[in-house]
Amino acid sequence: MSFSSIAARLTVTALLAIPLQAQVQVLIDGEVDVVRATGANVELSISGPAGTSGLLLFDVDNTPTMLLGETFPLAFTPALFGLPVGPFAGGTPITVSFDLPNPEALHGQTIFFAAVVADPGSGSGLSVSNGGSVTLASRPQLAGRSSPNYPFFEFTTAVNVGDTLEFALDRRFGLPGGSTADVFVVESRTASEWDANQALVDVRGASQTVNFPVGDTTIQGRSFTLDLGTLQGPDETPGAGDTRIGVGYDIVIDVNQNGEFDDGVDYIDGYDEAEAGFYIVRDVSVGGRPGQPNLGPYPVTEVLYTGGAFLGQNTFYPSNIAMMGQLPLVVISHGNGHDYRWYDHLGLHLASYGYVVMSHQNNTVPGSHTAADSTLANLEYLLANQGTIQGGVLDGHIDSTHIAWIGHSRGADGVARAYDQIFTGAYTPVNFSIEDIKLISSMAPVDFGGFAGLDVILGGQNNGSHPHDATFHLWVAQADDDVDGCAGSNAVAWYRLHERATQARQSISMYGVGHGDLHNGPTGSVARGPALIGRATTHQIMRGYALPLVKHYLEGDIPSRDFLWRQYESFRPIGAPIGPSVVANLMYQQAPSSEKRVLDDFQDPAAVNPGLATSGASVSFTVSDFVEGRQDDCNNNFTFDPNDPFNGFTHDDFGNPATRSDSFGSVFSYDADSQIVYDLNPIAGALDLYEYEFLSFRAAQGTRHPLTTARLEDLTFDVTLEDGAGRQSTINIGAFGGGVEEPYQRNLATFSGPCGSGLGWNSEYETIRLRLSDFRNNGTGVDLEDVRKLIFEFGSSHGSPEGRLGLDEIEFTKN
Amino acid sequence: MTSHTSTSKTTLWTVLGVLAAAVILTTVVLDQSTPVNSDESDSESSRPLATRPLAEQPRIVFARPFQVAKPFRHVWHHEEPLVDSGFLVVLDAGDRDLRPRQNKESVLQIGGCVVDRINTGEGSGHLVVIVPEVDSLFGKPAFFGKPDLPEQMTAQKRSDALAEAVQFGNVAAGETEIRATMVEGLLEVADDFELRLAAIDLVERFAPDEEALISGWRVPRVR
Repeated sequence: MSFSSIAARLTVTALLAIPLQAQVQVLIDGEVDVVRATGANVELSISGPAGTSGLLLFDVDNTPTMLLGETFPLAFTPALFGLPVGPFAGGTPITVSFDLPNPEALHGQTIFFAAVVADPGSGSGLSVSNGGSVTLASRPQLAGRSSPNYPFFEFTTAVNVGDTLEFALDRRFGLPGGSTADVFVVESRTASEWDANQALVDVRGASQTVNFPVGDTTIQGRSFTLDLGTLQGPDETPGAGDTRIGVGYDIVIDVNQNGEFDDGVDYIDGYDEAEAGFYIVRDVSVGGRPGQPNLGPYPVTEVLYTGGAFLGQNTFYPSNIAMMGQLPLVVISHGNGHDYRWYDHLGLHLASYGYVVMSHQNNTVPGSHTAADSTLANLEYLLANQGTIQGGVLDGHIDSTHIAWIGHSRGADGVARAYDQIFTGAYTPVNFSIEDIKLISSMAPVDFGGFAGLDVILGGQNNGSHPHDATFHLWVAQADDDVDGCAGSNAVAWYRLHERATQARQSISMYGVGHGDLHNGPTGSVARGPALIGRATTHQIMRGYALPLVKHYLEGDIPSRDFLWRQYESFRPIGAPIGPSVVANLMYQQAPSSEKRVLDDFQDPAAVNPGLATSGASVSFTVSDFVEGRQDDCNNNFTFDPNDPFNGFTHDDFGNPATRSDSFGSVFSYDADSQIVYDLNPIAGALDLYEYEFLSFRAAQGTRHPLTTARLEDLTFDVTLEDGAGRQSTINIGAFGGGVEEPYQRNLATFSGPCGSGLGWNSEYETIRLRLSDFRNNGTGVDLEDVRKLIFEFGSSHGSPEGRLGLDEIEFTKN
Repeated sequence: MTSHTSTSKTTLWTVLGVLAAAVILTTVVLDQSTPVNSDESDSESSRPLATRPLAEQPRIVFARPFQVAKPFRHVWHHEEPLVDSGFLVVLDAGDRDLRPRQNKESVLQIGGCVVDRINTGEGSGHLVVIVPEVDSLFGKPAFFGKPDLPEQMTAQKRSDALAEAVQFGNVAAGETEIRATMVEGLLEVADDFELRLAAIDLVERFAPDEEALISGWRVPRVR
């Protein structure tokens, strides 16, 4: 290993006086010997006599060496490296903090250290400290499934119960071919539990001995089946009370075959305080449902009551709530002409997993500002009257600090506007606070409040349709014949609220689904378009998505996250429908507060410059018709027009500040091999991609563009990372299935009139997330610490031969 | 005489209706030829709309004065005035398409007042509304105005809508005609919830197909 890399990382973070001490002592993270993950930050503390200075020494061998009459706990190999420290001024020790090297191949290597200081009191004039060490441990992801294309293995967090499970250990982790190891699948433990108990007990009854082949160094050759679908998920017996989405397991490759986990020797997937190596997940689409309220983990009781005008409530809760503690609350706000009793498909499902769900009467006919008022009034009413509603059955059982708001159409706008009222101080909650609203989920929302609700045409209530910093989620029904999404009306543009949200935001867009399919009332689908899937199929998708959505944001559930971002073609609830007509596009964007690193989001309108990314990286491209700007279909329809570059993108409104959402992006075309290159050199020194897990971006096919209509299918392209040494690695976005979906082939008319000529509705974004470590599979050697280029490559050599694309939100995320 | 007046009005409305329809059609044709690059900022009015002021006015078939002990906000006006009296009214909207929509809908006014619609009227054509005593029920036409949100209807917009409705030929029903519908006396209730329950009784009577709405209001009240 190279100590120069360590030297480069060393940073003296404190230089403080310490009391006189008789001995020199060094500790790492407060201990003498530790095991730490590659890339982890550690802190060395050195204490010595006041006024003295010395050297902090590192070596790869701790064989004692006699020198100048002193015994050094280091071998003084050619790799010896020293760092001056001191002078000690008395007080606290000098502390040195640094990041351990990243390369996975350092697994099992130990760095030894000691300090020596000048000591006039000793015969040699030196005092030598104790010896310490840090052993490096790679923390590979292991669980997943093989894939036919590079990177040849999809590492996953969630695995549907019954699915075959595999593991893979790429050769970069240092385990040589010819090695034999025992592989254990064990019940998940936290890191602390692993530290306390290293005994390996395989849940399959016995471990599995694996021979890593000699000669075959590919990850394909180092992938092995772990289980054929027998691993237990949560108890899905109706009424069993097991509300977990998944059961966590860890995988240990017991290299020394001693039946114990030896950190720094063995490999483990799941050494973490919060997250297991993988989770076997249940069929999240199964739960209480209309006519079958007892199908889920808890039987559900449903009650109807009213507290007065527009305070009618349809509330669902686990029937044995009296035996339970406080349960998170989900509030549902219906749309115009709808009814508060039309959401039992969500109420029964969620309540059967341990939520209180209250769907309320909503005053929607005057508008969505009144709907917002209804939402606030109903929530306050419920929380304030728990003692009297239904004889007090809910009293003390509602966790008012974990609330989700779900709204539909005008009610979907209403929930965002309710949040806006609190955010802007126009409304002060009595029985909850703004921090308690953990999620806003809007189904086919109208946009009546605009950016801030200030404009006269928006009523001047100072009440915007703006989710601000709330975690926001959007449901889009592509065949919606009410909130139809056409560019002709700001009020029914689908994505404005989503684009205004400033923190975490995500969406699901379902093809063939009508406005009425989102509820469970007696009216029709209110749908127009091809391949309509109907209400029952829609509800199957909804149940399987709504539960993970709520679980993730109200309870922090980890395996639920996979359902929110993995391509529907690749991963979906067991009971979710699939078929040529069933299409669900997902967007998933983490909050800025998640410490993600934005490479380019095009969000600085003052610096519109195709050659410069938001991050400071420079951009060059050979694609054609590249335009960066507001994502606004700037006319009234979706007809292809070369002068309307963002045709089909209704995310923003260029023309009216009151209805804007400040959503910027890029569009371009290609019909031959071409690329967009992000040159990261301007930011390379500050970009260590080992710190991030995913490259994330969203892409959309431009609707009705000749290059889109020429090939109506999922569009794919390559993404390449290039490091400072010119090493490259490429992953195709369709490697694990899917791609960028073609627009829904809806045609001319809506209830409100035509939306131009041609076929194809909105230009639909999907988020693509590529695991950064995957770029290192099979010995590419790409140094994630020194990535200099990110290249999007298009054309027949890289996937779809032609296309019209929108590209946005290019960022590196932590999870 | 009454019959003659009615016939005359019908004839007049028919003529005006044809004229109005011609205006609407002209507007639609013009709208469809909107230049490609115009933004949608003004598109709420430029896009073809299913609902426009129609010559056929809603007709009052029932009216009953009310008084509430506890005033409530009339959120159908931007100003949200407090209301303690007014009329429960049933309007016959004929064969007008009353299917609820999420986008802006034609605003139903009586005179300069946007009425509080209790039911959709889809199917029966009968709309039960609360008319707050912020404007007289008498001497003012009932009409469907341009698509908008009632909560955004300022006094100016309501006044403009009324003027436009009159321009379109909407006329007030005769006071005698209205009074003939007032077969029940003053309704005195405690609050707007009780008022709405009384309105729901009227929905049951005039629009019995709206069973879901009716039952949704008649759930047990928490005391």
